[in-house]
Amino acid sequence: MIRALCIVITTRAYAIFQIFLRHWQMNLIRRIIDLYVDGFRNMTIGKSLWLLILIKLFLIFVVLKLFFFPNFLNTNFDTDRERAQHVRNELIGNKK
Amino acid sequence: MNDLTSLVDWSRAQFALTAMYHWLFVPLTLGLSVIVAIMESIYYKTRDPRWLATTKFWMTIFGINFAMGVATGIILEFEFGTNWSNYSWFVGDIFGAPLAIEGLLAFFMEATFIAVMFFGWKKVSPRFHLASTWLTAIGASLSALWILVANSWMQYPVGMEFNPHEMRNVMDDFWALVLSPVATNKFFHSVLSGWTLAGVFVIGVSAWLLLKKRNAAMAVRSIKVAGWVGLIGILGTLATGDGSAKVVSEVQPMKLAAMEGLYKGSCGQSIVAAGILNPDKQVGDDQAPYLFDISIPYGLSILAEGDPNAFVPGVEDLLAGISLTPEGDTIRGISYAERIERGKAAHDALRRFDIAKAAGDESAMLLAHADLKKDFDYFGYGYFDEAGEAVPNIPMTFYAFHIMVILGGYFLLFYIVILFLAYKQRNFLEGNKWWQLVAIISIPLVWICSEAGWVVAEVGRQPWVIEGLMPARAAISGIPASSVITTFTLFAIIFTGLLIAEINIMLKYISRKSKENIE
Repeated sequence: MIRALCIVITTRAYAIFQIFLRHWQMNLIRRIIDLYVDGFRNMTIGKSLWLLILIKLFLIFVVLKLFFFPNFLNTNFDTDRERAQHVRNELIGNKK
Repeated sequence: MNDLTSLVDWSRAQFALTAMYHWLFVPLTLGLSVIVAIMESIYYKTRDPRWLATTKFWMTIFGINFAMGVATGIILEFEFGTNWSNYSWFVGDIFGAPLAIEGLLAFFMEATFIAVMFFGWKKVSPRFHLASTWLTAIGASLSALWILVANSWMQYPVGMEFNPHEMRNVMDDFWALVLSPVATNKFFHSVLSGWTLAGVFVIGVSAWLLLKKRNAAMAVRSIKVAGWVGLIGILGTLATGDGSAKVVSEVQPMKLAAMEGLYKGSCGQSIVAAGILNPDKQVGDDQAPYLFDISIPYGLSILAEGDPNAFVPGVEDLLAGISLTPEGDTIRGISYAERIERGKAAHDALRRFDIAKAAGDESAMLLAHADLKKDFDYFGYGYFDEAGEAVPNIPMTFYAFHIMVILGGYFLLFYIVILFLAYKQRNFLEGNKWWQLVAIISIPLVWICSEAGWVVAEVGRQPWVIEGLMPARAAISGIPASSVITTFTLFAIIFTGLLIAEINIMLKYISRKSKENIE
């Protein structure tokens, strides 16, 4: 009987711990979301900065990367073996 | 113009422009984060709201600078893939590993803790907020560490072995890379120079506040903190600069000779404190190297070797592979002509390896691989036809080095005087327009000093992208020079526009905020 009681108490305690943990986790996640949401909402000078950052990221990753800075080896060769062979030809093929 | 020369020159110019643009923001981030963290620590200890206002003022400026610099370094990685593809392949995972760590650190540490820094004043405990501010500062320095480790490997390639099957280098000792003397010196030199730069920036802006008679108490508080951070920064920069010179004399003696415009070395070599190079001087002729110079006897021997009688080789000694004992006896080392021969032998061994591999001849492969290993340290010299091709641009290296050193000396004096005024002559500090103007003018000077340091590091090591192993002309991709000219121009226009917009935001913030009572 004592053994059964211990099992019941342990099971209940574990269930309560789980509820607290979930609550704490939810609370933490909610606090993190609040931190960002309130932070962005109350920005003053930050709004101009974020606009500039977004323009810059667009220019860097969309305009420059896609249209002007392709990866030379990945674009022109399909496998690592072909890439290695190309570099080999470039470096010791007396082309330089 | 030769097509390859044009392509290499434009690609180098583009990389230099991008790197120098990126370096406008990085040192201020490194130093200002520490200054802000110290200010917040004082607030945490005293709970004095004036320190809170001071912290928030500089923290916002830190945020503006951070936003200005964000992602500007990523263009350099694009350029590796597009313009320098042979190099990117050849370095294998050695360059990628530190950069990947940097990317993860920068993203997780800085993105997380910067958010808490700016958004968390009323959301987290003061202790947690302070910890976030310090972690942002530490995170910024750790990010810099990995970039500088990657750069240092290019200056002093260690911890790897060349794999002829894959045609790339493979890292075999991570800690040799991270703890190489070049990397450790470069890390502390760069980070502490950031403290120096940020200190001058804060003092310059504070001097402007004093000149305008706005928030004088906050300005003086800021000057005191920035003065101490800057003084520690400049002392550390000088000490690590001395360490760097000793390392350079060992692993890149040609760079040291170019830094000093030294064509023929001697025992007890003097150092040129200031001077003008003879523009007609060529390697190997009998003309005097300087039109005018002020030299300190034994200075370069002490700087390079820690011994006033030590021999410091000049460019011509290095090309001939000659050095001297303190007694004047000649020691013959390996000349550049021999290096070129051994470099070509390494190329030949690699070709033989390929032929043997294609024929499936294991013993010939082993023999060729052994020959390649024997001469691999000189692999890059095999691209040259004559020794003079391995000499960097001496005037640019010389002047950049001397500008850096002279301005470094000026900033040491600047900090000593500023701290004396802040603690002992406060009325003079607040009332004298001349020193305030000097402090404001010092802001662009400290950036010139910082950028000049990188010119020394990067121009001085030319023609190498990887010291001794790969010159710039072998590292380049087979792309048209016109496409590099296009992207160079595009980058210059776009980022100059963004820079103007961003500086405008910073100046407007400082001007607007200074009119409020933020004390």
